[in-house]
Amino acid sequence: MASKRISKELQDLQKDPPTSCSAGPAGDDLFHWQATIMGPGDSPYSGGVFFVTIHFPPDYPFKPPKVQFQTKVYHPNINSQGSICLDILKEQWSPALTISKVLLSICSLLTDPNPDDPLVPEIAHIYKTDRSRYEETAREWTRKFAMG
Amino acid sequence: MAGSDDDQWFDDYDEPMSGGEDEDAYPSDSGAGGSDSGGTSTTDDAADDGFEERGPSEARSQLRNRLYSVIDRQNLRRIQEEALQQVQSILGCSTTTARALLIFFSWDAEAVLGTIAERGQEDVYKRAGLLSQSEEAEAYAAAAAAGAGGTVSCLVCMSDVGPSQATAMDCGHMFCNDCWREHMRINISEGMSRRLRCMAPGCGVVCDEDKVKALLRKDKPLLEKYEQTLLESYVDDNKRVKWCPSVPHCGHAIRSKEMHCEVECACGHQFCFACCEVQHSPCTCDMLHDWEQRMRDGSETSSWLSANTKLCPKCSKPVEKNGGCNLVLCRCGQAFCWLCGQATGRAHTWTSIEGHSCGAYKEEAEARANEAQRNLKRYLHYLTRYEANLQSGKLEAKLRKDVEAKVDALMEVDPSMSNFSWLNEALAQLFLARKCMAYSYIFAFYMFGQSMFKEDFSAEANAINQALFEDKQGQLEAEVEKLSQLIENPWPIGSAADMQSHRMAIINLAANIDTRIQKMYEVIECDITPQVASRGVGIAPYKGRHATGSGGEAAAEVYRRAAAAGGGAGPSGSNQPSSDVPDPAAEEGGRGGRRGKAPIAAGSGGRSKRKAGS
Repeated sequence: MASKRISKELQDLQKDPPTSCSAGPAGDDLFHWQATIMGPGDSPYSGGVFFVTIHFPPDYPFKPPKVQFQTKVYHPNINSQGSICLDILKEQWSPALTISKVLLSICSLLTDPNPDDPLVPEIAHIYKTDRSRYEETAREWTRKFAMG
Repeated sequence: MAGSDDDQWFDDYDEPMSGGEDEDAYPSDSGAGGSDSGGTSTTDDAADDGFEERGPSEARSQLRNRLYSVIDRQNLRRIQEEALQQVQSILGCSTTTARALLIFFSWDAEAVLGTIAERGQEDVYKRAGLLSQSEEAEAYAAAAAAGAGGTVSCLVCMSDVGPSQATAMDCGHMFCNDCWREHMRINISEGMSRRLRCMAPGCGVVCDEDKVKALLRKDKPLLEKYEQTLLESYVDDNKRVKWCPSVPHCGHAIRSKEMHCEVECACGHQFCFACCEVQHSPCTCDMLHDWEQRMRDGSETSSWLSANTKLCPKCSKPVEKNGGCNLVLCRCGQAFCWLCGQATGRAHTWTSIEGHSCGAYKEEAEARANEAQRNLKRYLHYLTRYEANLQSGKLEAKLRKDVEAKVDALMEVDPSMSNFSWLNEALAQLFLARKCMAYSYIFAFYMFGQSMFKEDFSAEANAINQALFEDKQGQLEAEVEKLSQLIENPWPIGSAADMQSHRMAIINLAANIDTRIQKMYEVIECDITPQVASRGVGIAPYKGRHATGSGGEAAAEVYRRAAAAGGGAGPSGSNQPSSDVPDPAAEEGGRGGRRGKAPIAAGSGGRSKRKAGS
């Protein structure tokens, strides 16, 4: 079931790739993918290319995939290990969601952080109190870690 | 409406279980036990006891049933179905909807109906993960339309299937049966049966039970687990019902109106309903928890060490000063100054130590040490008394044997004395009093310690409270010791008249003790806890052993009190001046008007009676 569904998702991704991201198996293992996300144009991450690893559990899609940033990101909902605090990757996961939808949600999380449910409270605090400083740091990290 | 309806629920549930108990002078023996344990074994004995009045026992039996009841497996299903039907009949909804609402509101039907009346059906349904009924109807139509068009595309496995191989839930979301089954299998095996949601993103509607059952009909074990978890949800999601914590688990659950209540399961296991630990009234759950922590981690040992020893500056072993001047010599040979703990030479006079001057007197350090020492002494004071009382309670079995031997001796001399229920009652009262006393010392340790309730009492108020409480506690203690002595010392077996007066003395003392305990609870509940009402101090009321067997006079007295207190009031504690004292815990602790009218301790009375009488 899982591998059939993952293959289907892969086919769909190749047939109709989303504009701002791409994804596919990292090697021979169908359950282990690598994806890239383009920093959204209207965010301080613009111009950056962010690498993301995706692990599918054996009971996928009934259990959510594990998604992690490999590129360092300065963001209230993404910590230094690259873990992402996103509801659809946890309790709001639905078997009818796909990797493509997950990646799009991550894109919109980059544009609109959720500082009220932060994974990194310090960044959330700066985001709430000093927006320009947050944007500055996020741009700087993007230049440093997600470009070139 | 909530209150009265609820009462009615309770009575309804309990009726079959309490059947026949009214005839039984030991209602507690058949226990909250339900139909299985029955009361027949003691009924005859009870009739022999010669306590003509039935009033008190009836009152007590009703009383117990009003406070808590035992639910066994069969009852669980029935009670749950009744709750479901109550909601269904009013809302006209499906079982799934009723169950989802009840789970969301912790099986409080009044809360379900009340909130719906207050906030409207749609809001409540949405919060509980349901659609309102009008939406349901539309959703059905949508599902039918989707199914009519040839094949259905399942968004989970991403394949097309015929309409017969797909199922739409009430929300209208349709997926293929294989995917539904897999989704259910994973969730049910992880114990999520009662949160079995639709698979569509953001939908969250609870899956319809009949559809789940239809889908899983071929997987019997899974279906059983699903039904079992739904059934147990009545206990697991319900604040007012708890599993009996007995090990191995007896399979019963207890349903209690009061959070702070001491209950006994049909299996005989007695526990505090609020924390599921041993019964510990009059001390609160928090106090017991802290006390046990204290005893476990031996923090008092370390506090003794800090109060009485200093670490040697060389070998770091704790050294106790056993007198003399401030030059202390460790076993390792190192000399050091007791005041500051620094290493010194050995030569000294009364005023100075060679090669050392620690300067000013360390007042603060001294005060800290004194404080620690005082606290420790205080703790040990309460600990010894707690343990002594608990210990006496544990010698119960031995004392019972002693008493049985005395009974046998007495029977040989005077075979006319064949009824010893009075003795069992006295023993039961004695052990109950011992337990109360043991936990009253924990209560006192925390209540008057100026630490747990530091902010709540001024030093004067605290002193007054403590004096009040210790007065009652002291009176109780004196009576308990007297009774203990009367029972343990040799009996005047030879003379019938002496034996008769000995018997009366024991009976009276037992009744006295019951009153003394009530007086102690009165001080706790009327004088002390109202002062800390804001803290929500929950103390289970005293469950009187009472004069069940202590002679006509005492029993009649009980009856008068019960009658005076009105209908459902119980014999024990109903003489308390509850009406004119505002009760702090009336709302959350719920001792309120029910103070002291807790159920009678079940079990031991009847059982022991048989034992001693044999």
